[in-house]
Amino acid sequence: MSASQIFNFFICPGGIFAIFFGLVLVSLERIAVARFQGRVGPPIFQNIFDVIKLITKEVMIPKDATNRFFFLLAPVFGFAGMVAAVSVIPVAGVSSGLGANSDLIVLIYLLALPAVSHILGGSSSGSTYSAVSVSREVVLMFAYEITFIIVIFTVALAAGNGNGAVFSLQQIVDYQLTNGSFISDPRMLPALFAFLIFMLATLEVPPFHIAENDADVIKGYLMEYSGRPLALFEMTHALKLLVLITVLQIFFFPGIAANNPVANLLWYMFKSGVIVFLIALIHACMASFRVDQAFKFLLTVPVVLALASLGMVLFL
Amino acid sequence: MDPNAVNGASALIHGPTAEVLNILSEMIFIFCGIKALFHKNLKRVFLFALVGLVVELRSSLTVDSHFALSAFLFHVFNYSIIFVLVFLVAKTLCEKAGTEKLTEMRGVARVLPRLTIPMGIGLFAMMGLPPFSSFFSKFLLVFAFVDSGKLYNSILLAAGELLYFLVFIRVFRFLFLDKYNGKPLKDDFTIPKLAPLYGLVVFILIGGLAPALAFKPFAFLSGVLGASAKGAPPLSISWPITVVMMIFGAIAIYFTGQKINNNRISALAASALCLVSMIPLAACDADIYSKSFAFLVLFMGVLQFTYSVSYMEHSHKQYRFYCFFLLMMAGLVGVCLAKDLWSMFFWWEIMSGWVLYIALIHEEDAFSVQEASKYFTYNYFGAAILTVAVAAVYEETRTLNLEQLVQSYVFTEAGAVATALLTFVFLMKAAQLPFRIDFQMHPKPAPTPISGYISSTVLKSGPFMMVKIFFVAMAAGAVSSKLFTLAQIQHVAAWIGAITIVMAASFALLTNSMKRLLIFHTVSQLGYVVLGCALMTSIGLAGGLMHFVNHMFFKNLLFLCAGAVFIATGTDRMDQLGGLARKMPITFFCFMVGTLAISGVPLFNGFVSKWMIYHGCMDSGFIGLAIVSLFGSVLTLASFIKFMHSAYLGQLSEKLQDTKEASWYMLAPMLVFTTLCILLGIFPGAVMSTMNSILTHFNLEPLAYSPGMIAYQGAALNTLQLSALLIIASVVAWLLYKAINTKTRATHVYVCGVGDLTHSDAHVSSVNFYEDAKKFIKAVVRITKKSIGLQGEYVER
Amino acid sequence: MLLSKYATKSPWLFRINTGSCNGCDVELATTALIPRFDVERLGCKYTGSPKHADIVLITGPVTARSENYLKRMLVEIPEPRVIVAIGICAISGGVFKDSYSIRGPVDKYVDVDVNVSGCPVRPQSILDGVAKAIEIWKEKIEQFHEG
Repeated sequence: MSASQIFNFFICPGGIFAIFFGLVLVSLERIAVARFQGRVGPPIFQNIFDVIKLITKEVMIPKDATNRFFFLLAPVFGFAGMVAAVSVIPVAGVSSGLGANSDLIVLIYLLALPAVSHILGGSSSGSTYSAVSVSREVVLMFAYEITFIIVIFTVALAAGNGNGAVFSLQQIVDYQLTNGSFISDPRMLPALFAFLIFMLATLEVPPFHIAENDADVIKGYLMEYSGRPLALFEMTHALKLLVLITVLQIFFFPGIAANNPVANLLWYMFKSGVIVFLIALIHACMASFRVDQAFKFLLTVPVVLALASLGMVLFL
Repeated sequence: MDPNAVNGASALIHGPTAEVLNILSEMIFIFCGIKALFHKNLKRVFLFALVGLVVELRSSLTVDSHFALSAFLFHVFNYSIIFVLVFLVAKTLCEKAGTEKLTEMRGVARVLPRLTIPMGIGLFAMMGLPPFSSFFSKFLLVFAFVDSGKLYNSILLAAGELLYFLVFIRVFRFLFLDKYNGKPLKDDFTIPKLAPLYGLVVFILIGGLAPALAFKPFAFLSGVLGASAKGAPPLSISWPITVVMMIFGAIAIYFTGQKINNNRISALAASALCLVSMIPLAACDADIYSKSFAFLVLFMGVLQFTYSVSYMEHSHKQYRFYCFFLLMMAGLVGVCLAKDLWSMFFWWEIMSGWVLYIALIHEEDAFSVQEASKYFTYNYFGAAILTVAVAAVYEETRTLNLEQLVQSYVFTEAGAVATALLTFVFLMKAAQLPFRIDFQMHPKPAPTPISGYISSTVLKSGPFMMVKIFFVAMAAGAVSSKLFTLAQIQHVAAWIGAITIVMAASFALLTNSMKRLLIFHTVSQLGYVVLGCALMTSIGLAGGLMHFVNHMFFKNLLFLCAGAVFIATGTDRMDQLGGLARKMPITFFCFMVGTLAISGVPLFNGFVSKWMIYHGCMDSGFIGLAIVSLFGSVLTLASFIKFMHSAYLGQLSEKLQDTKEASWYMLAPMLVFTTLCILLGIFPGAVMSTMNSILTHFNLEPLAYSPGMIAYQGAALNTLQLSALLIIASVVAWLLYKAINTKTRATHVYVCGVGDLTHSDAHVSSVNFYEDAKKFIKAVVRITKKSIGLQGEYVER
Repeated sequence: MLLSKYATKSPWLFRINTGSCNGCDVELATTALIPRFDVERLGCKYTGSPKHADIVLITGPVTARSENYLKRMLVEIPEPRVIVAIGICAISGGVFKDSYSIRGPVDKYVDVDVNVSGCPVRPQSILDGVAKAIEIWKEKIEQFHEG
C-alpha cells in the first residue's frame, strides 16, 4: 500500500474521519427528528460522547451467554467489515477507494457483515429477546437484499451503457462525471426510490424500526451488550449510515464541486447532510410496520420499482 | 450406417407381423412386471420376471442391425446363467425355510448368509449393473436399437427396465434388509452343495470383468449364423492402478475387519489406503483436470476415514461400511481417470449403483432402507438414460475415446439429443432439476461420513463430466444442429442451476432436520457449480471449478460438525438442541467458519468463487442468472443462522447438560477443513496455477493471479488486501477491549422480571424462526404445485 | 479527567418501578416526551435494558412482590452508575411506610445518590435531579478508574 492509501484508510476519508463524520451524521439525524417534533434535541457531537461514555463503562457478560468469545467477537466482526467498506468505496473527487477491491459484489457482502454481527452477537448472548430480534432481522434482510441486488445490477448496467455491466465503483463515478448523474436520468428514478427504501430498511429507521425496537424487544440484539462492545456497535451503525449515504451518492449523484479535494470533501459532507435530513423527515413522520407488514411491503413496492428501472435500462 | 441395415435386411422379423408382435409383447412385458412386483411367492416372482424379460428380448429380433443377433445371443446366455443361479438358490431357500412366501422369508439372509450371497449377486446382475456380465449385454442391446435409428424406442426399453428393477429391489429388501423373526435355521450347507452356486457367480463375474473376451464366442456364433458382429462398440474397460489397488484394499479390509472386529484399525487402514493410493495416481498419465479431482477424492477419503474412527465406533459391521465406501471411492476415481465414455459409464455405475446402495443402508432401519432405495431407483433411471446417450454418441462418432471425440464429435440431430441427454444425466447426478429429483440423489439417513462424502465429491462427478462433454463438443466445433444449439443446452443448464440454488435454499429455510438442511444446501451450492461451469468461459469455468473445490471443504466441514453434534446428543432435530456452543466450543468454531464460508463472507473461500461466478454471469450477459444466484446467498445465510442459533446458541436445555466435546479423531479433520477454508479465502492464488492449467487444457484463456489476488479483464479481487483491512480493523477493535478499561463482570441475562422460565422455555427454537418468510415460501410452493396440477405444500419427512 | 468530562455528556436513563402508584412514572414519561422538558438536550436517552443504564431512576416504595426483582436488577446494572430515588415513596416509603407489604425504602438495598422528592415529582425537579446525578456520576467515573 502506498502512503496515500494508508492515509485514506486510517485518516480520511476512511478510518478516523469516517467514524467521526458517521457519528456526527447520526446525531444530526437525532437533532433533525427532535426539531421536526418541536424539541431541542441533543448536541451535535452527542453520539461521539455516547461512544466515549460507553468506553468508560464496565462490560457485562451474561452468564447464560453460550459462548463468551463469540459474544465479544461479534461486534468486532461488523466493525471490521464497515471499516473495510469505507476504505474500498470511493468518494468522488477525493479518493478512489483502495484500488482492486472497489467492486460492487465486494460491497454487497461487506454491507451484510453488520447484520451478521448483530445476528451472531444477539444469538450468542442467550437472551430470548435477542433471539426474536435476530429472527426479525434476518426476515427483513431476506426481503430488502433483493431490492439492493436489483438496484446494483441496474446501476452496473446503466454505467456500462450497453456494453455489459460495470462493477467498479470508481468507473461508475467516472461514467456519471462525464455523462451526467443518474438522478437526472428518468429511467433511474424508480431505482432511486427503491434504494431509499432499502436504506431505511437496512438502517432500521421507522417505518422499519422492527428488529431493535425499544417498545417490544427492548433493543433486541443489543440488549445484553454494554460498555465497549456496545460502543463498537454504535460506531458500526454510524459507519453503516455513512457507507450507505456514500453509496447512494455514488449510484445517483456523484457530482463534484471543483477540482480540489478539500472542496469536494466539503461538498460530499454537505450532500450527506441533506440525505440525513431526508431520512430524519421520514423517521419523524412515520410509525413502524409490524414485521409481517414490512416483509410484504419490502417484497412488493421496492422490488417492483427496482425491476421497473432494470427493465427500462435493459430495453430503452 | 450400412444402407442394408436401414432396409431391414438384417432383422429377423419385420413387416406388419413385427408390429403386432411388438404391441403384444409390450403388453406381456408390462403385465409380467406388475405381476412380479406384487406377487408374494418367491419362485413365481422370478418366473414372471423371466417371462417378461424373455418377451422383451424378443423385441430385439425386430431390430435392423448387424450385430443385434450377437447381442441377443450374448444377452440370452448371460441371463440364462443368472436365472439358473437365482432359481437354484430360491429352491434351496424355500426348502430350507419350509415356505415359498416372501413375507415369511423376511431377513432370511441374516441367518443363511452363505446361501443368499449368490442370490444377492444374481439380483444385482439381473438389474444389469456392473461388474456383472449382463451390464455389457444390455448395453449392446440398447446400442443395437440406437444403431437401427430407434433412439426413442431404446429410451422406452431402458425405462421399461425400471419396472423390473423395482421387482428385484423388492426381493432384495425382503430377503436381506428386513429383520428375521422366523424359526431358527442352521447354516449347515456343505461345500459341495454351495460350490455350483459360487461357480455360477464366478462365471457372471468373469463376463463382467473381461467382457470383450466373453463376447467373442457370440460374435463368432452370429457370424456362423450369417450376421456379422461388426460395428459393435468396444467393451474393454480401463483399470487404472489406483483403482485396482483400492478395490483389493477394500476387499482385504472387509475380510480382515470381519476377523479382528476393531473399528479403529479398520478405519485407519482405510485412511492409509487412500493415502497410499495417491502414489500411483501421481504417476498416472491422465490430464490435469481429471488428476486433480481424483487427488481431491482421495484426500477427502483420508480425512473422512479418520473421522469415522470415532463416528462409527458404536455402529455395527464397520468393516462392511468401509469396504463399500472404499469401493464407491474406487468407482469415483475410475470415473475421474476414465479416458473413454464407456469406462466412465462402467465406473460411474460402480460408484453410484449397488455399492453405494449397500453403504447407504448401513443402519438397516426402515427409514434408511426407504430413502436409499429411492436413491437407487432415481439413480437407475439416470443410468438407463446414460446407456442410451452413450450408445447414441458411439453411433454418431464411432468412438468413445474422449481424445478422439475432440476431433470427431458431431452435432447431428441424434448427436444433439445425445448431448442433451448426457447433460440431463449429469445434472441429475448433481442433484439438480428442481422438480422433486433434487435431494433424492442424496439420502438423509446414511452415516454422516458418507453423507459428507456424497456432498463433497460424489455429486460433483455430475458437473465434472458435464464440463468434459461440453469441452469435447466445443473443441470439435459441434455447436449447432437443426434441433438446438450447444449454447442453448448450456444456457438451460445454467438456469437449472440458478433455479436450484434458490429453490433448495428456500426449502432449507423450512426444514427442521440438521442433515436435511445440509443436503438442501449441497444441492443449492452445486447449483453455483453448475451455473459457473455451464458458462464455459474463462472466468465462469474458473469460478465454477473454484466453487467445486471450495464446496468440498466447507460442506464437508459442516457435515462433520453436524455429525459431531449428532453423536454427542443423539438427535438430528434442531428444535431439540440449543446452547451447545458452550459444551462444544471447537466444533462451534469450525461450524462458524463453515457457515461464513458457505454464505460467501469475505475472508473465507466461498466468497472468492462466488465473486468469480457472478462476474462470469455478467460477463456472458446473463443478468437474470446473476440476480437469482446472488439472492441465493442471502437465503443460504438465513438458513444457516437458523441452524447456528437453534443448535449451538440460545439456551442449553436440561437434557443436554452432560454433552461432551467431540473426540480428537473427529476434530482433527474438521480443523484441517477449517484451515483450508480460511487459507483459500485469503490466498485463492494457491489453487490458481492448477486452475490455469485446467483452463489451458480446455483451450480457454488463463486468468491473471498472484497469491492473494485474482484478476480478469479489468475486474479484480484482491483478497489479501481485503483480509488485511478486515484483520487490521479487527485488531484495532480488539485493542479497544484491552486498552483504556478492562473491567468486566458476569451477570444473568435480563428477562424483564420473568423468573419462572426454564432454559428450554427461554430458547427460541428453529421452528419459531422466520415465520413470515416461511409463510411466503410455502405460498410459493403451493401455487407452483397447483399450477402443475398437484395439491398440498412442502412436506417435511 | 478528560474522559469523564465528555462521558458525562451522555447519561442514559433507566427506570425501575418498585410498586409505585404510576404517578411518578407518568411524570418521568412527560419529561422525555413533552417538547417543553425534552431531556434529550442533556444527551439523555431512556434505555430499555439495564445493561445500558448510567442513571437509574427508581420509583415506588419497594413492595414485597417487587423486592427480589429489584435486587436482581441492581446487579445487572454496570458500574459506574448513579441511583436516583424519584418521589417520596422511593425516598422514605411515603404514606405506605410501615405497611405490611412494604419492604422499602430503596436505600435499604442500594446507596441512593440523589433524592428527588414530591408526590408526584415535578418534571422540573426531575431535570434538576438528573443534573445533580450527572455531577455525582463524574466523580464516580474518576473513582472507578482510579480504584
